[in-house]
Amino acid sequence: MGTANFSTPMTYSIEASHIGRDFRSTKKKPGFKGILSLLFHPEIVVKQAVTDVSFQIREGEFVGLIGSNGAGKTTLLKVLSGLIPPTTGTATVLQETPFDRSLKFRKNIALVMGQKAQLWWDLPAVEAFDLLRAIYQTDPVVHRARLDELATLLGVTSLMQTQIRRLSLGERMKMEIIGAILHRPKLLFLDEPTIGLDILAARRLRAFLKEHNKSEGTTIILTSHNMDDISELCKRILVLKEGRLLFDGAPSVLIAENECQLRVQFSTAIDPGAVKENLDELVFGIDKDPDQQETLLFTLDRKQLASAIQRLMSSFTVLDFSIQEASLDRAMTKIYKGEA
Amino acid sequence: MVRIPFFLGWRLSTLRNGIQDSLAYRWDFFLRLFGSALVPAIVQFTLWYSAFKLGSAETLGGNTYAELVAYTATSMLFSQLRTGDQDFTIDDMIRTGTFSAALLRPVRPLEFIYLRSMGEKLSVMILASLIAITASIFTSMHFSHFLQGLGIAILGNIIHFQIGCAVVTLAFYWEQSYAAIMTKNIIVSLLSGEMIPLHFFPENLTWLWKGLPFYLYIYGPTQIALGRWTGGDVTHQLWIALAWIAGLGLLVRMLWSYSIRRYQALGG
Repeated sequence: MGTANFSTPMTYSIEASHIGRDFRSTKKKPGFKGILSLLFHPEIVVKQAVTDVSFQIREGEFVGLIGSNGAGKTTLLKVLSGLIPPTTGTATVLQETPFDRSLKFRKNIALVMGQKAQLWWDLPAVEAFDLLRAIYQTDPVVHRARLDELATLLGVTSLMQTQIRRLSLGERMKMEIIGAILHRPKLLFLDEPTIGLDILAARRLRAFLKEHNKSEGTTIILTSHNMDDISELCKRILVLKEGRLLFDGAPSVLIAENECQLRVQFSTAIDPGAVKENLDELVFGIDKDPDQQETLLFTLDRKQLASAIQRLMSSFTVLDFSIQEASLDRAMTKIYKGEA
Repeated sequence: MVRIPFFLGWRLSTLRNGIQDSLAYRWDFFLRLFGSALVPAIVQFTLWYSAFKLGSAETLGGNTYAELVAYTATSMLFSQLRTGDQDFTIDDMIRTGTFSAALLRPVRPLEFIYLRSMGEKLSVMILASLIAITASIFTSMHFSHFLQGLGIAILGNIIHFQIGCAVVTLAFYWEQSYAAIMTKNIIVSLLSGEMIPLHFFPENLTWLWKGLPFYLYIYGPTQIALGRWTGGDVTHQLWIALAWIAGLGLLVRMLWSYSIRRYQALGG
């Protein structure tokens, strides 16, 4: 007699298998000769934007997709949302091939691009949402209630009659988010949704997305250069570097537990090289604070903190110092620089 | 309450939305209504005036001065229905990657773009009809003839959009198809009857305009509205227009299903 299997089968929203995507473009050489050569003998350049990327994402997960500029994040989102086909490999999204873009598939996904408006520029937000209601066949009463709820949550009720082009960047982004989730998609792709937003607006948007993921069980894939977005929202991150998947797991794994950051303000601007001679065996790295010339940031083991401070105080005039926890920001900087 | 079926529901909403969008810039809207028809009309009126009043001609291409003035005035109504910059819009959307939004909505992207642009054309149609009603009171023009011409002109508008959609697939290969669209538009201006009545063409060149669908945009509807093509002629033109729409529909479908694979969705 066979053994009954009571385990629930794992349902994946996304299954990516060895995805690769390249782009062909013409390369222009400098000067007039370059223009002529472009006209008659264009040099075709093939750029591998994504290479051999495989992963699976379960229903309801909130996953961060991170990497430096040109790492392939947006290209991967475009493949998964069905905008472009992969050059190699296969993607299955909501049990379908994305590039087929079936009606069912398009009804169940939404893509928000922080730098590209999806709503109609010249229309008041409420009119744009009404058109979306007709497109997604939402019941008018349900639509009204849902729109009121979302507008209240995001604090944009008073802006509903305003043309999209007259809204501020933050307000427009909130409208874009509303437009994307009005029809309750099962899968939401967010490409840098907090770009250009002030701290408060970004925080509100994060709180909203967190609640939305929790209450509706929507699978969300988020790309962002803002590590606050990633740390607050994503229990799992995929790190891309030069088109390849470098890391797939919890953000905490990347943050060294014993590591911390010492922020020291000196009386004058100091060359990091000079300080390094004093602290060589105690610190992992020294960076300049981009905002303050006199301030240096030391990354070191927590156990070496006292010795490092003592040595700095005896050799330099220290005005102020503070200790910060190791951050995802720091971990990612190390990855981008190739130090990790 | 009457429930609108889905297949009609989103289309009606899109049309309504297109009307609202076209009215977003008031002065631009008024200028666009008949602005671009003025230049070819002025050129034509000047030509007729020169030939008949200064050159003392009695007929031109078999037409009297009054007939040619009537042609020019009527063709202005239909030329505005023909004009449309959807192909330029789609070209720009492909080049900049903004076509992505249209691709991911659960409706046919090209039909959606067409219907939105038709919002503005509806305003033109209403205005043109009002002018035609007025003209039918004061001239020998029959409003029923105008309506038949308008029907053919609407089909011509669909054909114009389809040809634009076919040409614009070049943008997937050349990054932009602006020059190709411009070239097509110049040919259209010449062979649609916008610049000159097509019966001015020499006998041995009539195949040039009869073999292409462009005459269904302006020349055909104008001839019908002026009562020069009636009854069987109109039915014949209707069938020709429908055949073009069916053939071009297949061509556009084929070209897009192949070319869309080259869409790069640029920008992020």
